[in-house]
Amino acid sequence: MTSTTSWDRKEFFALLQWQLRRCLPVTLLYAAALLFLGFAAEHIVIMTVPVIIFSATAPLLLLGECFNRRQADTLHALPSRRGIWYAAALIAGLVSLWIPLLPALLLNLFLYHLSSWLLVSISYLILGAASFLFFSMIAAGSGGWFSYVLNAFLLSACWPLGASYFLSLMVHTLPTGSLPTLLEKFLVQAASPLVALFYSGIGTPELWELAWWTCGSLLLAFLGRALYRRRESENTGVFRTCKSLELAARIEAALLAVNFIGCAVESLTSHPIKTEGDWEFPETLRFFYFDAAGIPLVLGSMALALLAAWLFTELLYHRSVKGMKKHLSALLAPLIVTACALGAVSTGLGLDVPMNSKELSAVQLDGSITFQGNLSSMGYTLALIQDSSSSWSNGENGTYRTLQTAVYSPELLHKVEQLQKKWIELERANQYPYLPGRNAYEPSAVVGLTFFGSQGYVGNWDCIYQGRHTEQTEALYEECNALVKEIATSSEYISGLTPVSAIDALSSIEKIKLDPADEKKMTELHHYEKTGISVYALNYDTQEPGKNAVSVSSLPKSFSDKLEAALRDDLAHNRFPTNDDLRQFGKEKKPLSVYELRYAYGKPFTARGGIILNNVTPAEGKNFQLYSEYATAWVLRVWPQMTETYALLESEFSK
Amino acid sequence: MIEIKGLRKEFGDTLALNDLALSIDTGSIFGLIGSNGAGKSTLLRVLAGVYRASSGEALVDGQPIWENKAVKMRLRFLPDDLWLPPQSSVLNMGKVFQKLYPAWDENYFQQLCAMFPVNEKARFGTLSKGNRRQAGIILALSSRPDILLLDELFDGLDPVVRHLTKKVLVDEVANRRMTVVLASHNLREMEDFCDSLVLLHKGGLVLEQELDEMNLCLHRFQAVFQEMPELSALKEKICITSIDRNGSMLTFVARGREDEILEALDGFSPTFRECVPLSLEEVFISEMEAAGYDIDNILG
Repeated sequence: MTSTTSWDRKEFFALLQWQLRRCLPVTLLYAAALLFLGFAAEHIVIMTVPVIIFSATAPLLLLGECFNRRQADTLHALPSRRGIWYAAALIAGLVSLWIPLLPALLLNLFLYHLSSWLLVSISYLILGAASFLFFSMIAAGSGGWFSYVLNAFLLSACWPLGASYFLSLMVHTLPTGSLPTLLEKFLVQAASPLVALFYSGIGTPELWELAWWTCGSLLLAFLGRALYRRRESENTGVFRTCKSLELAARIEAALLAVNFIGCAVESLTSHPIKTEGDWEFPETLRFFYFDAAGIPLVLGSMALALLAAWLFTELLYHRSVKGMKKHLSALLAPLIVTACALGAVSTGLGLDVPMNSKELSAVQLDGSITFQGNLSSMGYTLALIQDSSSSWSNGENGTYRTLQTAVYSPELLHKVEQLQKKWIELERANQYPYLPGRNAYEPSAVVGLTFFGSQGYVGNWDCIYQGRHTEQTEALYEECNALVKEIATSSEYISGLTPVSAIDALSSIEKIKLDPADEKKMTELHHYEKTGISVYALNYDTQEPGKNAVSVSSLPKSFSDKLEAALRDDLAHNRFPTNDDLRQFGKEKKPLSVYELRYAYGKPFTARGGIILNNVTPAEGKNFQLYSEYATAWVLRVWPQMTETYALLESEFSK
Repeated sequence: MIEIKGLRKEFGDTLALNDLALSIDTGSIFGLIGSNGAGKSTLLRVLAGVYRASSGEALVDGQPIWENKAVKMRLRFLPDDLWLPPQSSVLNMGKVFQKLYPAWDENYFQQLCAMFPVNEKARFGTLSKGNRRQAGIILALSSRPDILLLDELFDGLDPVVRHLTKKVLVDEVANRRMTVVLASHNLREMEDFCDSLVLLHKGGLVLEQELDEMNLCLHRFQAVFQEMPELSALKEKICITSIDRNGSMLTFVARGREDEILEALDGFSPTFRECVPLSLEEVFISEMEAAGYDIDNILG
């Protein structure tokens, strides 16, 4: 007689084999797509697309009995327990997911030499599995195709979006130096395997994430199995969802609505609104000023959003509001979650402290308030970094770095820290506990400083000083302005601006006559250059210097030193054309002589200052090669307003 | 033996089976008849372990069916709209079922494949409805089930295959004491094939009887009167379920013993009277009418 255990094993393998065959058409398409991308995709993140598509479609075949009543009649009458049937479907899905994925990953990693390949491969396998188990769980709790699509959409999209909006609301509510990166990562990614999978393709995952998702996958498998075992076969093929899944989806949808509306209303009442063409900062920030009404306005909007989301999802799931009293949990649960979250945020969560000097590795200024909006033109320098073998790395593969002007001396960082401390104390004194909408008052004192944390590019924080118009905020505002001025005029900061930092890459100088009519056309074409220093990149057609250009190599070495000193002096004293100067020039009929300093694409230079943005390390003294995404020259126009530089060039060129 | 005790099945606000109680003997061919939506298919699905009863129980030899692998191994269900994997064939599925049903009989499977005119190598997706049903019968019978649940078995089968199917089923019942539970609207077929029948209406049991008893219990009479008696007086004496008057002739269906009804009828001095055999269809209509089914309205 056959023993029960051996018969169970036989049964399980029979079901597994059957399931593998059911899934075969999708597996073949998925394998073909993966192998193609493994060979062709330079960025591994693209491989998440077929993984997500497979994860979402495979349950439709493997758990077809959840969507098709005929299949349910046949398959649920078979002599196998539902738990076994579900387990066979999951294992068949995981085998079909992993077998094509592994060679495709290895092929991609071999071809494109990705660093930390082992961790990336493992993360793809784990997070791919988590995505598939996530969709399988949704299929187990959904009645038909439409309810599966609806639940999958709500459960995959609402949480990460809602969490992002919540974080944004939190940042705008708390006076804080920074939010812990881990909090953001945890809140947004921890409940969404799809987002986690996507992120694993663009950054190296950490070990704790893999451990989390291993446990998460087991939990998803367990939950899916529990839903499948309790599933009523008569729900197959009809628009019905199991109660727990419906509740989860409705809670997430409501949280998204609450946080989105909260964030939107808070932004409308407290933050700059983009006006036509450009940001106007800081005088005409908003249409409305709600002052003390800001808090009730934001909280009231959030409450209304919650109610609207509840009614909307009630209609979506039940197509009627008759039974809405039975579904009050879908209203109360997000209400409690929101109340708890806002309650926690209102305490400050211990985050209303200045960023300490250890975290604060560099400080840059907000581009819109310094150098009359010209910082964006010369605050960033694209550069290729010289590797250890003394050969230039390949810029076409996107290996360039961004150098940014910033200060990192301990004295200045300490001043920033102290100022931040004062600001937070003032904010705490003004309004505590912190509630969303508290910044709805008139921004009488707004000034910006951006802090770079030690985590580098992904971990930078904007911090705008803003406060109620009182004597204290006025004093803080003045202090802040003074600090901005001190930073902007410091030698350390000026050294990081492109004209100075990349002075070695200067290739030619040419005196040109600017025609007001041509300049007007130019201004219309490139409206972003309507102010300031007239830094621009020439396109392919015009990048060659003109006939009168003088090569820098023909000039004495002492000239470069003098030019650098003159540029430093002009920049430190804000000597460059203002908007008014440019407007005046546009009105005049006569041409104007200016000098064009051309910094050549690909020319080596030793950085004078600034930081390497990717890892927030000082760039001073390091060797680079000037880079441009479109292989164009970088040009600085020296106007007569830049008196020192203009005078130097005049004296040199009049010889 | 199948026992159903106080079985109730609800679909949201709809009551599909209402406190149903009946028992089905081992080795019998049991017919389920009833109007559309009476709950026949729902009952079969509960018996197959596809649906879970809302309350009450369905037992096979004293054991519950839902999620009971041991019971389900002895049971096969052929739904009215049978699904078989489109890419598979009878042979492929035979291999799968061989591993799922311990009583699978490979020799019998081969015999059935030879007996039924269906290509056992053809993919299900390419087969006609009748051929798919034949494939389902082959696969079901090869599992040597103790209980076979069939929903509209003869639907889509040609007369020859229908005859063959009946023969194979009757042999299985006779030789192995297999129990067949069959739901159908084809009363003529049921009349020839079933040992006993239940009539369901709105999820409840209207009638449960051996087929022979059923015919004995209901009778149709024709009587001619010179002077037509009062119908109310007639109904007082005879349990009439339906009646039709055409001139001096009265045709009615009545419940009770034939000789007793004839004796009561003689009390109204008919010039002519006779008892005419009743078909199952007429029994069905008569019982349904008695259960409140608005047949006149449906038929117009």
